Amino acid sequence: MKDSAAGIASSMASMRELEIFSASDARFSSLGAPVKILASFVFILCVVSFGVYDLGVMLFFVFPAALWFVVKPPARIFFNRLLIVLPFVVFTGISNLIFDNSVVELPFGFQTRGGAVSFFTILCKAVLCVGAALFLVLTTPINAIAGGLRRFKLPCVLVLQTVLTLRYLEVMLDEARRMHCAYSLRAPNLSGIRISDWHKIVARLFLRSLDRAENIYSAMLCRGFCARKTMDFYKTKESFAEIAALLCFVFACVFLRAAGWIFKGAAW
Amino acid sequence: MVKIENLSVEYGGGNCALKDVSLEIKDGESVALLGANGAGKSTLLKTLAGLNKISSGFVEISGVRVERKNLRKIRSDIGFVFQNSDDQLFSLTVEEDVVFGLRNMGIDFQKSKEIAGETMERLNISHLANRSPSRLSEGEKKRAAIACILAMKPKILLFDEPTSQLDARSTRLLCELLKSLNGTKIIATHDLNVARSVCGKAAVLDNSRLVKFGDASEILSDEKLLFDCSLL
Amino acid sequence: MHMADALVSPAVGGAMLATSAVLIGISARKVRENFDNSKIPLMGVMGAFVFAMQMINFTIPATGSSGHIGGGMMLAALLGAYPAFLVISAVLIIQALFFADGGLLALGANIFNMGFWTCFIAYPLVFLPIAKDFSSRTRIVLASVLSSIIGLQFGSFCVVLETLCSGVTELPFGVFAGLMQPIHFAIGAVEGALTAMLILFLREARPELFKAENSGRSVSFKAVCGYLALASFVIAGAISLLASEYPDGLEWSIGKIIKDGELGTGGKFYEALSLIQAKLSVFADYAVQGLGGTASSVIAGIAGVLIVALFIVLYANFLKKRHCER
Repeated sequence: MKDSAAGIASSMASMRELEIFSASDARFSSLGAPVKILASFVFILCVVSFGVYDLGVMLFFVFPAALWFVVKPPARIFFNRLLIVLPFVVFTGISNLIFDNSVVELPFGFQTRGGAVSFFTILCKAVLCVGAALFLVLTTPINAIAGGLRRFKLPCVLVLQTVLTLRYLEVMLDEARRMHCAYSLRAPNLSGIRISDWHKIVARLFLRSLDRAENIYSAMLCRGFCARKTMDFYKTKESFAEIAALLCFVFACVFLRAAGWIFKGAAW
Repeated sequence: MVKIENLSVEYGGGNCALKDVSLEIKDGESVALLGANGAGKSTLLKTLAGLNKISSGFVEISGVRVERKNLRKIRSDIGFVFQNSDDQLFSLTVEEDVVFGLRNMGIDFQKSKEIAGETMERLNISHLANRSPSRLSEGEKKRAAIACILAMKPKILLFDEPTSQLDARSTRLLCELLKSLNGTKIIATHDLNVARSVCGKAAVLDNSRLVKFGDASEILSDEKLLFDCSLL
Repeated sequence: MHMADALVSPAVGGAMLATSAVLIGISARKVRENFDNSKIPLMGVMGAFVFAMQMINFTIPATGSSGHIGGGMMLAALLGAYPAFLVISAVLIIQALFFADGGLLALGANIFNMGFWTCFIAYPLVFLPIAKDFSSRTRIVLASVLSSIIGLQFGSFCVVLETLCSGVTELPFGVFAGLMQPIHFAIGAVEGALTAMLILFLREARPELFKAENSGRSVSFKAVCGYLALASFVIAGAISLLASEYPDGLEWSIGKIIKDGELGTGGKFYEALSLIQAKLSVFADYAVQGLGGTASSVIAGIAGVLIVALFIVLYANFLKKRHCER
C-alpha cells in the first residue's frame, strides 16, 4: 500500500503541476477551451488516419515542435505520460515486426520490411497523440476544460463527476497518508501493511473519504453551488478570431495530411 | 429572524439527533449554541442551512421556510463556517476559494476578485491570496474559511466550533474578529469562554433537546445547569 | 485495457465515441430522473476510489504480466447501472486528459469496453439476480466474482476486435485473444474478490448505501431485451464473419476416422428427410442461396436471429395463454 500510495501521490503531484502550469500560461489561455479541444481532436484524427505504412505521419511533428518552443513544458511531464502508453504500443509494434513479413516500397526507391515501418509509424502516432492531449491540459485549466465539455453539450452530471473525482482524489490521498502513518506507528516492526489488514484499511479509507466528501459537498452547497450553473460559468462563447484560428489550424492539418500522401509506402 | 418550531431531526437507523427544539433568534443577535459532544449543535446548524432532512416541525429564515424549493434563497442569506476548515478550502489558492462563492452568486470574475481582495484585506490574509490552502496553519485556514463566507455578505452567520484546533492566541484573535462582525451570529461551541466573550444569548442543548435559552451571562453563571449538561 | 489513440483508426474511434456518447446521454437522463442528489459525493468518492485502485498494478501469477482492476463492477454494485456508467466515464476522461492513460479518440472505445459490459450487461443480468437483496454473504461473493469476470471478458474481447478492425496490428486474432482473455480472467477474479470484500464491509458499516429504493439500481426489462437483441445482431451479422473455417470438433474427429470425410448414408427414410431439409433450408451453410460473399453470411445470420426470436416469442405467448386458460 505504501508503494501504491506513493505512486498515487506522485501522480497527484504531477496533476497539481499541470494545473499550476496551465493557470500560469498566458500565451494560450486567451484561446477558449472548446477551440483547443476541437483542435486536439482534429490533430489526433489526422494523425491516426495515416495507414501503417504511411511515413507522412512524421510531417505532423511540426506542430508539437512549434508548440514546445512556445509553451516550454517540463520534458519530464511528457516522458512520464509516454511511459504509460508505451507498453501496449510497443507490444503491438513488436507483434507487427514478428508477423508482418511484407516488403514495403518507400518513396525514393527504398525498400524495407513492412513490420519495421508499421512499428515506427505506430510509435510516431503514439508520441503525437500523447503530445496533443498533454498540450491541451498544459494550456487549459480544469475549470476551463469543464466549461469546454459543457459547450459540447456533455451532460452536466458527467462534467460535475469529472471535476469532483479529481477533488476527492486529493481528499482520499490525504486520508490514506494519515491512516498509513497511524498504522505504522502501531506496527513498528512491519515494513508495510499486513495483507490480512488490507481490506479493512481500504474499506475504512473509503468510508472516511466518503464522510469528508459529504462535508465538502455540503460546504459547496452552502456557498450557492449548483452544478449546472457553476459548470456553465466556465462556458465561453467563441470569438471570430478564435474560430478563424481554429479554421486555419484545421486547414493546416488537412494540408499536411494530403501532403503526407507522397510518403505513403506500398507493401507487396 | 430565525424561527425554529418543534424541530426534530432523525438520521438513518432511527438515530434521533434533535428532539422537539423550539427557538427564536432576532436579527442582529449573537447566540451561543452550547452542548457537549453529540448534543445536536452541528445538526441544528446544518438543518438551518438546509443540509438535513427535517423529520417534524419547521425552520424559518427571514420568513422563508427551510424547504427544498427555497434552498437557493436560504443559502444566499446564510453563511456557514464548518468545523473543519479543510472541508471548505478545496481550490488551488485561497483567492480562488474566496472567489468560488461569489461566482456561484453570478458575480463576474473581475468583480469577484475585487470583493475577494477587500475581504481578505479586512481579515489580514491578503498575503495568503496565492498560497495553497494545504500550506496554511490552522489559524490561517480558519481565517481563509471565514473570508470565503464573509465575501458573500450573508445576513446570518453560522459557526460550527470555530475555535477547535486553534491555539490560545488564535482563539483570542478569532473571538475579536467574531465580535466585530455585524449581523445575526449563531456559534456552536463547547468553549464557554468564547460564548462569554462573543455572545449576548445562549441556548443549551443536551441529549438532542433544548434545555434552556436566554441571556448568556445568566446561563453561563448557572453552574448546576452547565454541570448537568456536561459543560463543566 | 486502456486503448491508446495510436491503436485505433478514425472509423473505429469515431464509431465507439458515438456509441458511448449515446449511452452517456441515456445514463445522464436516467440519473436526472431517478437519482437522489445526496448521492453525488458518493459518486465522486467512488470515482476517486476506482481511479486510485486502477493505479495499483498487481502481478498475475504465471503470466509474467500485471494488471489493474476496471472498477465498473464495484461502481455498479454500489451506485446502480446508470450512475456507475457516468462515473467510469468521468474516470476515463480524467485518465485520458491528464495521464495519457487511454487516448482521446479512443475514449469512446475505452468507456464502452470498461463501462458498458459491466454496468449494463454483467450487473443486471448476473450480479443482481445472484446478489438479490445483499443479505447472503455467499451470494454477494459469487455475484461479484462472476459478474466481474464476465464483464472484463467481454471488455477485453472488444479491445481485440477494435484493434483488429482498426487494421493497426498484424497479430492474428487467435494469438491476440489468447493473450488477452486469460489475463483478464485473472484480473476479473481479483476485481470480483475486491468488490465482494468492499460490499461486505460497507453492508455492515453503512447499510443505507444498499437500500434499493430511489437508487436507480434496476435496469428495465425492455432495456435488457434491447441490449441482448443488439448483441445478437452484432454477433450474428458481424462477429460470426470471423468464425474459423476449420471443421468443429465433431467434424474433425469424424474426418480423422472416415477416409473420405463423409459418413455413409442410405435408406428411404434418410432420403425423405434429406429432401425435406433441402426444401426447408433457405440458409444452408449459413448463406443465402444465389448470393455470395460477406453479404450472404450477414443476411443469413441476422435472419436466423429474427426467426429464433419470433419462434420464442410465439411459443412464450402460447404458453402464457395456456396458463391463463387454466
